This record gives sequence, structure tokens and C-alpha cells, in this order.
Amino acid sequence: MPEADDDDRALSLPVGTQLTGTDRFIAKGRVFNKIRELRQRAGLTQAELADRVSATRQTIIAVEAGKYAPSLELAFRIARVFGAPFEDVWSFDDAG
Amino acid sequence: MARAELYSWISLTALAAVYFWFQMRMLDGWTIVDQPANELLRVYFLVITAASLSELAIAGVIAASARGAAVKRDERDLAIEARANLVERGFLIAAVNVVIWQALWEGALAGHGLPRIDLENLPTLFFVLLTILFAGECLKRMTTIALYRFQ
Repeated sequence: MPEADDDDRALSLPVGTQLTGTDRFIAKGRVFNKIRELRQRAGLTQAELADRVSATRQTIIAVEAGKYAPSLELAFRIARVFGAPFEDVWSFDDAG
Repeated sequence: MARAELYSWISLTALAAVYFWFQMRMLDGWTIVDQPANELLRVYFLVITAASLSELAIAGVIAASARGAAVKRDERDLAIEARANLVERGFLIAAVNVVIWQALWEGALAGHGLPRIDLENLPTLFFVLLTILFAGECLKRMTTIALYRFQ
């Protein structure tokens, strides 16, 4: 079961981790993410994160750079790897 | 660089080389050389064989380089491939429609100073159709490269 695997491999970032200071959301259009900061805090390389979410390293690079907005499935997988709520990793600017 | 992007670069180069050979056989300057049907058939099979073999070889090398990788393709690769296919399809539809309009409205266009394709001439028809196919394939690969760069 992929979901169980994802849960088992979830890292121990506290739920609701707040990123501050230089931590910034990276945007693809109006979809923002904090993957780079969360990944660096978790001590993961882009390749390791890619393996955990069954994506290629190039896709993680593109997502982190805000060049590619992933599917909901991949977005949830990424959030589960960090053990963080979806909203802490992803946000959507609906006022823009 | 993603494997699909690398494949597109090499494939684009190979397609350009095959098309260069093809146009050398078909053109004298800007004029299409008149050739018998059996010679055109020979050129056709040579072009198709060269293009197919080069694509197979490139795909084989790229697949071999991906051996051992945990994930060979993911959703972004599929999304980019789908968009590139869509661009190619749109181009082919537009190009074939131009040929159809040209054929149907030959008389109407004849009175104008527009460039015309002599579709009654077999070498011309053959050259135009194969050029459209090559252009579609090249456009697909260029779209793939651009999407990997900017998406």
C-alpha cells in the first residue's frame, strides 16, 4: 500500500511547522510551495525526495523552482513525506 | 537534463540529418527535381528506414542509460509529452488543411501572386507531404525541449 509506505517514511517535522524569516513560498502562478525549505530542514536531497514520492529529480527541481505545479496526488505525497499538513506545504492565492 | 529532453535533442539532430539527405535528393536549389515514381519509392523507403533505425538506436541508448533508475518517467514527463503531441497534431492538421485548400482552390489561387504548390506533379506532392511529416516531428521535439526548459 503506497499510502502506508508514505506514512511510515514520514519525517518528524512538527505538524503545523511555521517557516519564517527568509523562508518563502515558491510560486507557480498562484500555487505556492515551501518544499525547498522543508526538504533542507529534513536533510533530504532532491534525489531522495524524488525517490520517496516516485517522481524524477528533475520534477522536484521544477516544483521547487515554481516552474511546475504538480498533480494533487504528487502534492499530497510530498506533504506526507514531511509529515506536514497539506496547507503547510502548499497554498493558493485566491485573491490574485 | 531529463532523459526525454536529451532524447529530443539527439532525435532532433538525427531527424535534421535525415531530412538534409532527403532534400539533397529532391531539390536542385529551390526547384524540386523531376524523378520517376520508382526512384521516389526508393527514396521514401531509404528515408523511412533511416529515420526509424536512428530513432530505435537513440531510444535504446536512452533506455539503457535509465537502467537502474528508481523512476524512469513521472507525471511531468507524461504531461510534457502530451502537450508536445498536441502541438504536433495541431501543426499536422493545419498543414494538411493548407494542402487541401490549395488543391481545392487551385483556380482561385492561380489568379493571385501567392506561392503555389503544384500538386499534380508527383515529386512535388511527395516532397511536400514528407516535409510536413518531418516538420511535425521536429516541432514536437522542439516543443518538448522548450517545455522541459520553461516548465
